[in-house]
Amino acid sequence: MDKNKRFVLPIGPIHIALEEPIQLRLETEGNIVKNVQLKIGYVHRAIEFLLANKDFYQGIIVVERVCGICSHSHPTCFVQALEQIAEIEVPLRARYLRTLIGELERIHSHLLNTAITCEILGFKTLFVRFMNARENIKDLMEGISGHRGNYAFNTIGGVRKDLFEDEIHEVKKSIDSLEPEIFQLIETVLSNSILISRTKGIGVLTYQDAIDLSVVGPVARASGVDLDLRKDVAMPGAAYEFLEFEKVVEKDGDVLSRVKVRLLEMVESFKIIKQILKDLPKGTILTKKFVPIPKGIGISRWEAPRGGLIYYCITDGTDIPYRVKIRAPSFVNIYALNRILINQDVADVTLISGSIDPCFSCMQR
Amino acid sequence: MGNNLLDKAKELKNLGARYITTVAYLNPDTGDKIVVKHIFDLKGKLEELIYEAEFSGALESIKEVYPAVEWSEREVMELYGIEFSGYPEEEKNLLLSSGGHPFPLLEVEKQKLLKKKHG
Repeated sequence: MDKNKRFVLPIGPIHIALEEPIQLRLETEGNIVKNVQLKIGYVHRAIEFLLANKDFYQGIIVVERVCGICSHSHPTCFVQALEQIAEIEVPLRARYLRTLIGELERIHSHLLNTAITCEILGFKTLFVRFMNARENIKDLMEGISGHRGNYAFNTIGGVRKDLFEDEIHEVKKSIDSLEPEIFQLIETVLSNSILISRTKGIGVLTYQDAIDLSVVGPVARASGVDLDLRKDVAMPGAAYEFLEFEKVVEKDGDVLSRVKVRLLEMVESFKIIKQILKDLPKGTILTKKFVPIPKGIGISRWEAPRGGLIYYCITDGTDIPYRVKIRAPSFVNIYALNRILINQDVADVTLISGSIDPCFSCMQR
Repeated sequence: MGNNLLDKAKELKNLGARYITTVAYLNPDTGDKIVVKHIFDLKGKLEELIYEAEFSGALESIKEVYPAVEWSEREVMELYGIEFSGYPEEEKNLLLSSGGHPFPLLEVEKQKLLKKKHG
């Protein structure tokens, strides 16, 4: 075969790395990818259109379904925008509880992505162990919120479910037993020489490319971009300003760095959860100020597991939002595949695509 | 085209602003133009480049400075019917290429304003 002859290899739209659809049209020379075209739109559900026809409380239910993994981040970000417009102050206890679910969500999301990376690499046992640990986190979230996914935890001005003393005790016990199990898994991955050699230097996104392509979350932090909304911006609906944790930043921008950032972020999330359980403030979980949402614009930002999420809400004084714009983190991260996949081996495409933790449903809304 | 979006985007880029997203909506006060906002993060603070376009109007693309704007601009084109420069015909769709009502968000916002005006 002529090595310089280009060949177009379509992959997808069925199941590239995740059970979600996207089509990659790879222009290849031999085994090397020379050009990429991404085709999306397969799971567009017109959620912004739906939101323009639903009242605020129905809207919370709809935005929970934007993403099956970040189904706490989306409603939290949405209600935070509405609270900003109506100048509603969220009780401190509710802010802590939102943060608690948010960090559990981060852990289960990162466990899922690491499990998928292990599966792609052929480490089936590690895949099962990571998924098992994730299942335990999901059980814990069900115990706290009453739901395994789509938690129905948020409402405008606070949260819908409190944690009583005995429940806090039970959650603490679960966290104490889950933490060593997950830390052991983290150590197993980070000390596995085969896994390291298979992911090191693959799918590099340089610092400059990460800046140019405006990527967010673990993908940006793995390329050395010091960006974490939990530390960088005010989140009046969350309690991060009262909690101690570190940003996890790596330098190399390869698949290994992205895996490392997610694993080490789980360590920080456990730190945050333990502080929340120890210092959970007493008081109400829902504001006493119930006012109609006036005409205005609310811009809300939230650090979802995959990176910065933004909701831009415009209200007109009725109980239906005039316009809600959702920018999920995967919207910019997936676009970066246009650059990350260039000059990579075709055999690594699935691994690299998986390493940016793409959520195709989230980004297409 | 008469707007200098690209120059302003270059200024923001030089200041170190990171692109976040692009929001478009039918101006709720006048109902005669489409507001387009490119939103940036400049050291943790939000900056906006705001422009208004006529129905089926055209705006300058800032893709040259911020490549990540491509999908957002294509989305605005298909949801609101305005044009950004430099996109071939086959790239004007993003999410609705399989069909559907043209410019759905523009239509729903037009109906809302009509309802508000006439009850």
